[in-house]
Amino acid sequence: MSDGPIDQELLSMWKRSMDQGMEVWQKLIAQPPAPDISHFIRPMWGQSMDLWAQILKQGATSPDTLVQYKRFLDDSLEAWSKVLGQAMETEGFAAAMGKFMEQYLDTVGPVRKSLQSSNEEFLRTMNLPSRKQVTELASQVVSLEGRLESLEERIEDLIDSISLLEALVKRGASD
Amino acid sequence: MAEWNLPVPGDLARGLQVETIKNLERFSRGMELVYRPKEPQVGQTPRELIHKKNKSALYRYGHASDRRYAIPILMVPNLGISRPYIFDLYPGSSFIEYMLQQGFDFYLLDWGVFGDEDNGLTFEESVTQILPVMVRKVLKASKARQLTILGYCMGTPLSACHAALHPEPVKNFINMAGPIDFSRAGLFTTWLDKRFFDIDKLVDTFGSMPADMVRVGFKFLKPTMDLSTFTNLWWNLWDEKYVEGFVALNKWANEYTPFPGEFFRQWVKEFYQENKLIRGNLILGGRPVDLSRINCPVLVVGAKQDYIVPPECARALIDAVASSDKEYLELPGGHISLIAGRGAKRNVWPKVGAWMAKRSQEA
Repeated sequence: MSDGPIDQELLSMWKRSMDQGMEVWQKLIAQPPAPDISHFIRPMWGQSMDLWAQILKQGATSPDTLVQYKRFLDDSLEAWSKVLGQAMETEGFAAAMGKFMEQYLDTVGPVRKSLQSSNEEFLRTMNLPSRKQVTELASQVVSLEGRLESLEERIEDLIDSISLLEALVKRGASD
Repeated sequence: MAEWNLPVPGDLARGLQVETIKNLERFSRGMELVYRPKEPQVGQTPRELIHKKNKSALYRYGHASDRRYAIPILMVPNLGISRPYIFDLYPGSSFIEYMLQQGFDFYLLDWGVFGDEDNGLTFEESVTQILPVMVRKVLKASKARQLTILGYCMGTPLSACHAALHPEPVKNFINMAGPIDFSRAGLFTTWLDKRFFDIDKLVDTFGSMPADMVRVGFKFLKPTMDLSTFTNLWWNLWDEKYVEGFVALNKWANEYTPFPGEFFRQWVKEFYQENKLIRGNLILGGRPVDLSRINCPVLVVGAKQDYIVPPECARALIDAVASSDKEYLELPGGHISLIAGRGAKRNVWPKVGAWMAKRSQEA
């Protein structure tokens, strides 16, 4: 494979996005105050312990153990869900997610563009329509459909008006 | 020291027998699900295509002989995200089937699955160009002068904007878990804040909001949801009815649909980031959207455990409209539990049906 200018560009873009990513994560980690994870986990851990103690107390060999186990799973998942929910509703999380998306788009955007242009070039050489051309054609069909529909509606309105007039004329004649 | 309550040997044997049978059934159904998965038959209620506009289609359900009310119902669901067959999941678990059994003349607007050619479609066009046509078609097909609009999820702001711009034909308005006050829309309010979320960059890059990104957004809202779903499946795997419901719901829950790019841009900017609808700053088709122009009877249904549209976010409609006949119901369950599942059939649909029946003059 040759090291063409596009490959070099992609490689440097990838390197740049990795560096930026590392920088953002380092900044985020260093941001005071760091969340105290034990604050979230401790109540959940205590709850799990209580539940297991209850299960063992009721008799570990009983088939009801399964019911207790299911409850334990549900409670654990609910507790995890709350922990994650609390973490995710913070502005720090939203900012991190936003940064991640920005980097992702910075990487994906140019790659998509360069792929699209090389694909289009290839399809043009092969005398085949590109995705863009097909999309444009479909847009034109949609717009034509819209025009036809508005014409159809006007005709329907006209027919309604004519039948109304007809009815009025008939009533007038019979009066 | 803990006291051990050992079960009586007879009870233990019986219990073990029951559990063993259940586990065998779990195993056999599990194998069937993995190796011989059946394609669930969804959306089986008879329907007729009334009108089609680009990808959007208007369907009328049921037979003329079963209709007892003169006021038709137009259900407006979300555009993008998911397919509308959730409202007609399968016989015995279908919101639409239930409404037909109550004697309503029921219409559903299926926005359709938009492609790249529709990326220019905006929220504004959906409200000012598609909805008015669909409303006219409903009135014409039913030979009625007024209708009940039932908005679900994003269908509520879409249809509320239409109702505020054209209040005359709207006899009743129902909001089921539809966001109105976007400052109270839970995690999405925080995540889509303009300080963190660059909507222009996203739409400019992809042209649309791809279905995979919609999926990621919703999965992130409740990361433990898939685990809970599969824990519950394992627990109920012996129960044929449960598995039938699971398969149908699971099909729907994994079929995400994209948003047209310009629609998503306007949706995020003007609703989530600027909260224009409740603030009264929204302008569509050159006219301000004033929710206080809605003065027909209004019902708002919120779900207590809804993390997509928290109840207070939906409830805001009650204070925004000018109606004297308005009611707010907060029912147990989550966003989907209002529209599908055993809880919906038991707790939600009868209440919505009874409210509409009182306000839909008999034919």
